[in-house]
This record gives sequence, C-alpha cells and structure tokens, in this order.
Amino acid sequence: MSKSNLQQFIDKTQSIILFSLLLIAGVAILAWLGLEKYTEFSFLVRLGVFVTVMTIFSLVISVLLNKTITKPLSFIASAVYHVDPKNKSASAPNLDKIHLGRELTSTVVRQIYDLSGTHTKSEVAKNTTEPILDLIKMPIIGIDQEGNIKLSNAHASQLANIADTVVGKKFNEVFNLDEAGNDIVEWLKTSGANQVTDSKSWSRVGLASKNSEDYHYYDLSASYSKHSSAGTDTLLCFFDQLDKYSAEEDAFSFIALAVHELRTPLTILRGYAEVMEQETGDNNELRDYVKRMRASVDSLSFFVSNILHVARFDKQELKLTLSETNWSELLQRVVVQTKTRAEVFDKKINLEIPDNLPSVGADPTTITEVLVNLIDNAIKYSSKTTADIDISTKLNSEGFIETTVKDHGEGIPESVMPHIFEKFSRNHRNKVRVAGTGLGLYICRAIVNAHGGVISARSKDGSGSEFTFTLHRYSEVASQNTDDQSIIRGSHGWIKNHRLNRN
Amino acid sequence: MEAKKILIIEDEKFIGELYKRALLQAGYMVTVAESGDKGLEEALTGNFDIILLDIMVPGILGVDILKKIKYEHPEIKSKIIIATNLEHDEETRKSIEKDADGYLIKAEITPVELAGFIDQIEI
Repeated sequence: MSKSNLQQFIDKTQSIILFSLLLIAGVAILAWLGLEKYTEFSFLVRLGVFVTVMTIFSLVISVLLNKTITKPLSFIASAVYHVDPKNKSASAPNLDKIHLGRELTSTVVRQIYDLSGTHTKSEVAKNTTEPILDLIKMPIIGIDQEGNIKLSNAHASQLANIADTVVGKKFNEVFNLDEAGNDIVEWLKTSGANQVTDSKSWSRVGLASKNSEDYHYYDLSASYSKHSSAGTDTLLCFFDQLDKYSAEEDAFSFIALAVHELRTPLTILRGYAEVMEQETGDNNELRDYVKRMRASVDSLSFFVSNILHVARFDKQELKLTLSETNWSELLQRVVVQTKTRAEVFDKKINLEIPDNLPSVGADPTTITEVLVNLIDNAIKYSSKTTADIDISTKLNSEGFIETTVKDHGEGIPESVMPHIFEKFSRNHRNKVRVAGTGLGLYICRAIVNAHGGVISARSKDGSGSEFTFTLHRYSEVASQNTDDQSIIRGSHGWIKNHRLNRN
Repeated sequence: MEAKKILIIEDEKFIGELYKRALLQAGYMVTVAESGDKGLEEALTGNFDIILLDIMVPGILGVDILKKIKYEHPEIKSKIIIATNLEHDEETRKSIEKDADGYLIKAEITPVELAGFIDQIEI
C-alpha cells in the first residue's frame, strides 16, 4: 500500500472536517445577523430560533460527514464479508461508488482479495475442476493479470496445436485473436486497474493458434475476479458458433462473388455509354437516351456498392480509413457525379458551402456513398415536383461539420419516420411507385456512426425531407489517424504519393 | 515529349478495348495483354511507364504479378495501378496498399475518367 494514498486520504478528510466547521460557523453568523435584521423577535425568541436552526443544520452536516468519512470502512468491511466463504450472499463492493479515499480503499480491498486468494487456493479443488473442464467441448482458458495461462481445458490446448497443455504459457504466445482482440485486451487492462469483479461478452471473436490466421469464430464471455483461486484473474469461455458464422461467411462470399460478376458488365456498360455520348454529335434526342442509360448504370452501381457495404457492416467488417478530406471539394465532386441522374429527372442540385470550412476526418469512399444515397433519395422522392435539391454544409455550434440534403418532395409519413434508418425499411406509400431496397439509409447511418457522427431526418408529409449528418473536423481525429499518409484516397480508389484531384 | 507507355493487363476483351481507346485518345502508347502470363512477360520486357493491372486474370493472378515485379524484378520501375472489380480480404488489401502505386474500382469510373486518373501519376 502506498503511504501517499493514506496521506492523501487523511488530508482530504481533514479538509472536509475543516470545511464543515467553517460552513457551520458561516451559517451561524449569517443566521444570527439575518434574525437580527429581518425579524422583530425579542432576544430570547431569536436565541431560541437560532439554537434550533443551528442544531438541525449541525446534525445534518454531522450525518453527511459521518457517512462520507466512514464509507471507505464500509467498503473494506464488504470485501471482508465477501471473501468469507460462509457469507454466500455477500457481494463484491463496487468501487465506482466511492469518491473519498478511492485509491486507498481500492488498494486495501485488493490486498484483502489477494490475501484471501492465497489462503483459499486449493489443489484438491483444482484437481477436481480440470477433468470436468475437459468434458466441455469449448475452449476455456484462465489467465492472470500478466496474461499467463493458469487454467485451460483440453479443447483449448487442441486449438493451440499443443500436445500437452497450454498452462504456464503466455496467452499471446500460443493463441491469435482477430481484430476483436484489441477490444478484449483493453477491457482486461481496465478491469485489472479499476474493478474487483467484472464481466463482458463479445460476439464473433476469431481465435486461432499462434502464427495461424485460420480463425474459428466464437462468442466470448469473460469474467474477471480478483477473488479467484489458483491465480486465475480472468476466465475466458469461448462458445462455439461455427454453424452460425460459417453460414454468414458463405453468404458473404456469395455476395462478394455476385458483386464482382455484376461489376464487370457495369464497367462495360459505363464505358460504351461514354463512347456513345462522345459519338452522338448534335443528335440531342440520342444524347438524352444515352444520359438516361448512364444514370441507370450509376444507380445500379451504387446499389451494388450498398449491398456490399451492408454485407460488410453486418459481418462487422466495414473498415474505414479516416484521412484528412477537403469537404468542399468532395461535395462538389459528388454533385458532379450525381448531376447526370438529377438531370434525367429534371432536377437541379444547389450546393451551399461557406468559406474557410475546415477539413473533415473521413473515409472518402464510404462517405461518398452516404452523400450519393441521400441525393439519390432526394431525387427519387421529389420526382413529382420541379423544385431543386439543396445541399448545405457548415461548422455547427458544437464544432462538427454538419451537412444537410434537403428535398421539396412528398415527405415521409409520421408513422414511418421512427423506422427509416432500419434495414429494409421503406416509405410504404412509395413502395410500389419508387424503386429501392430499404438498405440506403441503413448503410448511411452505419457509415456516419462509424465516423463518430450522427445522422437525423426531419420531414413533413407533403413538404419534403431533410437529412442532416455530422462529421468530426480533421483536427479532432488527427491523432487517431493511423492511415499511411503517403496514400491519397478518393471516392473510388487511391494513388500513392501523387495529388488526386478526381475520384 | 515522348508518349508514356502503358500496359493494360485485362482479360475482359471489351474493357481492354474501351481502356485502350480512351488512353490512346489521351495520348498514351497502349499495349493490352489478356492473360496474367502474357502480361508478366510484357511487363518484364516492354519498359512500360505504367501497368494497369486487373486481379482476376487467367494464368498468374494480378496480385502475384505485382509481387513478382516488386520483389523479383526491382529493376522494373513501372508504376503499377490495380484496376479491379473484386472485393479483397484484409490481407490482400494490405498487400496491395504496400506494393501498388494506385488502386481503383473499374465499375465506378468511365474510361475517360480512368485516363484522368492515370494522368495524375508522376512517372
């Protein structure tokens, strides 16, 4: 136990007592002066009122003082009760609820659990537990604070490809966790530093033997307790979900394949549409037809991207690469990109960008998809009117870059509004008339949230809709940017070490 | 100034033709190879400034061509741009980012836009 923790506790306690005394004295003076100035009572009545008020006030302060100062003691007592095997109903103290003397109390409580753990280690118990664990057909691994494996069953050793046992080895020397592992390691650190007991679950965690990326997928449940026997702090139980996740894997492989097969003819269609546009000369009618063709190719292409990103998001594999993005330039490019489609539906897109807009921290590919989806919706749902589509952006009062896409179309019925960001949700009234999948807004929200922003909608039936989303300024997320700075990213690709003005 | 030489390794005949047309119009000298093996042979002997490389090609796959050129033939200084419609796993994505000079999704840009993209590559 650190002496500074004890000294800190004593100093804080003394300060609180001194503060309470000063408070009582202050209140007493004010009360007396107040009674003298504002009442016309005789001296004896004033004295009586004064004594009564001050007695009650002092009592309240004493009770509060007592409760605050003795709280650490009650936590220590709870820990002692908890480690006593006879007190089966006792629960571990929740150290989050203590403020005064937190460090001191945490240290004492931990030492109580450490001492109790040392004395209650039972070889007999251990020897009877391990064969039982071997009967369970899922990896079970117990580790200490340093990540040393203290307990494991046969299934875990088999997974690690180790003939005898993994006990005694470090977890990360025999196992590989997929990217979910970062979150788990973070949780282990936090629990070890702040908690006596804690637990958490994760779904779809990849576990493989060291030097292998052949992950088996599990749902993981972890329990942390300082009070465990045999030095195990954290018990990791991996629930086999092979059937569930391999089915998802097959579905994703199919989608990836389908996307590839769809994109090849799309590339050709897009290419020949461009050639035809160049070759039509002054034939305006033909030029219009080709424009419509290009607009349809764009739609199909965005739809294919939506499917792919939804599949990635559902598989928890939608990866963003945040980089410094000139938001004005990106908005202008997206407007150019969606212009053909807007023109086909006789729509004009207005863009309002203030001067000196800061750059945003964004993944250009996915954030372009958000904008394209919102613009595409605005075009689709305002086809009956001739009104423009307005896009505006600004630095809002909370320091976020806020962007709004507004149409003046038919709006969204109130009953549909709470569900519009849900998967396969569509404006039911338009289901037949307007093409769509109900995936667009779902993926928009997923992408915006993954950027750390929020998306919201406002609509009035018959008066158009307004979708607004926020992004962080780049300066806010610059420290989190682990992207290779030599790569300049655009909406549909990247170039290394070169300026990228388009895409 | 001499026209820049581009090798397109692309098995889809129509895509190869469209890209060739747009790049010729943009002033490049263009060669098209329709298989991985033929493409690698051209890449090693043709002294190209830029190689536009598809991933899913018959014979040697695009990612393997990329690795061969970068690690077995460091004397080849061509800039390699991956042009693909395929979705990659994390490992392939990292490998492409490490070794290639550019990356684009073919379905999302037109041949003329591709020529504009390539224009920005400093040889």
